Amino acid sequence: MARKDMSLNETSVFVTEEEMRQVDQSYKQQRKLSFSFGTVFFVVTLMIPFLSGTAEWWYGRPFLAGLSLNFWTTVLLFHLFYWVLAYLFVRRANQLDEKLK
Amino acid sequence: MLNTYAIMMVLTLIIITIVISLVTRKFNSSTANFYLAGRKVGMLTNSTAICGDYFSAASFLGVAAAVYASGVDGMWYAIGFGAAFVPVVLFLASPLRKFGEYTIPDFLFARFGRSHVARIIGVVMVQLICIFYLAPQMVGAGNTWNVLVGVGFLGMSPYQTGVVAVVIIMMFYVAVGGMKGTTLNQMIQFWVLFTAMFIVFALILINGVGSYASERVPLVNPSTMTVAKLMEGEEGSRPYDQAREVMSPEAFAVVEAAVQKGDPGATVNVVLPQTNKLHPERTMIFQEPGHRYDWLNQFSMVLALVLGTMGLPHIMNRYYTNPSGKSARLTTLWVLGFIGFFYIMSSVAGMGGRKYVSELAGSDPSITGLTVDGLLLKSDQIMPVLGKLLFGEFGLGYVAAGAFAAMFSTVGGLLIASAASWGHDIYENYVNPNAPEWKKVLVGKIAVVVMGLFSLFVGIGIPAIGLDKAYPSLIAMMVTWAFAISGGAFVPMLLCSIWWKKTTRNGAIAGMLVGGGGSILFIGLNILKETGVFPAGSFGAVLGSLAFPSIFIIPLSFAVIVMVSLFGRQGQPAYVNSIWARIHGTDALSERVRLAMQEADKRPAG
Repeated sequence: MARKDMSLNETSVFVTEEEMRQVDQSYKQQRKLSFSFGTVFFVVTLMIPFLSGTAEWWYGRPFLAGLSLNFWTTVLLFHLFYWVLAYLFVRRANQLDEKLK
Repeated sequence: MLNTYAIMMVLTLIIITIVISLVTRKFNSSTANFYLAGRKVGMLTNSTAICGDYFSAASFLGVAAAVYASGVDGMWYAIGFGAAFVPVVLFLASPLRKFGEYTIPDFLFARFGRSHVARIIGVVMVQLICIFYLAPQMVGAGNTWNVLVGVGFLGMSPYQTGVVAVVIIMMFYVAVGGMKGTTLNQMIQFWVLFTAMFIVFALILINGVGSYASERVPLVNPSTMTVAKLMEGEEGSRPYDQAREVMSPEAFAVVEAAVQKGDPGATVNVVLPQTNKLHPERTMIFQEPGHRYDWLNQFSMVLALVLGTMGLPHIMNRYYTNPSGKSARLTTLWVLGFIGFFYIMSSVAGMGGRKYVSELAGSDPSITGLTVDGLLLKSDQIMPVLGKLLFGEFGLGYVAAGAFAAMFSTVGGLLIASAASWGHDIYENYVNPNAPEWKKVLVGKIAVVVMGLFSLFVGIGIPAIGLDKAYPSLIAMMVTWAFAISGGAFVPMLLCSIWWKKTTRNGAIAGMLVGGGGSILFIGLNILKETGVFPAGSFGAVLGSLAFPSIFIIPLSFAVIVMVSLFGRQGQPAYVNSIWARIHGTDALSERVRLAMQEADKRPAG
């Protein structure tokens, strides 16, 4: 049954109840996916300045080729991290889109 | 340094730009085509155009320069600019495209029950962000012209000539080419600047990055000061004594000669050891953090950069040009690949600069004059200097073309975003809603010209008020301000609007005002402090000491949106379910609801 949505002129119907149910389901799954990946991203990102201020093993000791783990992370590893994270997210988000179609 | 190769390559770039604009001008028959290229821009084309939009003078010249000058703290720009698209893909790319409007103010209007107030505040914020982002591009244009051409025309200084030349070219190519022409131009400009960076990167890797970073030697940088300042303090700890410790005997002899002349007002170039702001007890070295930022500013800067991109109007407008939500995500993945690699290259270029400038500058008289004791006096010149040292005149020319490509592409995107905001959001909706398509497009083009002229005056005015002297890395600093304003004004509002159904119009408006207004207030206070208007130690100077206010302003804006939405009297928009279907439904449903709502918009009420 089509639901009466309060539209701009109070009369138009834009989405059915069945469609709204699917939208809510899609929204909840996308939200879970986006915010799970978002949490990982922000925790790792903010960990860098946190360790820079607190952990001498992170910023002050050689890790590879005379360079610290902090240095390797900022010059290379963090760029690899965020691309892989985004790749995994896009793959799963698009799979979710397909499933909900 | 009038460089024939550089002039030829920049001229070639300009001619290609003009030809593309002329070829694509017939495409701009409607506003959907002029502002959004008909919403049919392919994934690879759009991703390279977004990169072109994104890689400004700050990215091309500024990141390598920041790494060259500051080591790990300089790499913060690379990390922040690079990772910034992750929140975009996680939270905004697909929903924003599915919602399917033209601009962020349009989004505000439709999302919040046809709110004119929300849309107009959105327009004001878009314009402020555009101005703050255009200003450093103008500074980059003036500085690059100054370095490469070194002469001014029509009675203007070289700096002013550079600003005027870039603005005139940009106004022409954006007004004539519209989004289609701008997109094609940005794609080409992206490849020019990307390959220019790749050439420098590859040559450094082939010849060796050097061991400056791993040697753990004290970080030293050049500085220009008066003899009086050089001799200030107690004997043994004066800048003079510090310089004698780290400079070569030959270089220090020049300083000594200036001191012996006895003129306290004379200026000298010296090299000084740097201090560690994060761990003051440690010697500052290239591979440790702390050269630029204390702990608070480390967090605040990374938040400003990582979150700020989500609110940049010229980047977000591009998401409306994707054919679908899925392609919007894939586009962002391509963007992340390109920008990640680009910023790795920039960081390596900055590292390599420490080796090659000190080793090779002495063999090239035109470069020697830019250095003191093997270090560049202006770190922003590292890219063109590396191009010349590693690949001769051709390298310098190619890097110069890359720098202008970076400025053109970003300014083009900003002018389109600004024009869309004036022409579409204001003129089409409030001034003349029944205007024919040709007139709407004409107004968009006039808006491009007006905004171009305004940015010209801003660009010329910056040295006049002494901003270039107050901030050593002005280009990167000003871009970060733009990120801070967009982060405060739009990011909490967009995230709440898309992911929290209970967000109300008043909540969104309050969040934008607090976030955008608060950011501008703190940036203004910082400018007043750095330019000496607030005396050191005054209350104003204390308030102005926070260079990047995002760490406080963004959470505050979120809190304001939530509080006003929860406790305000105003409810949700009447048709919020339909809005939700547009944002979170399938592509087909979103499109159907969007068209139905827009159709309903046009019908008279009743």
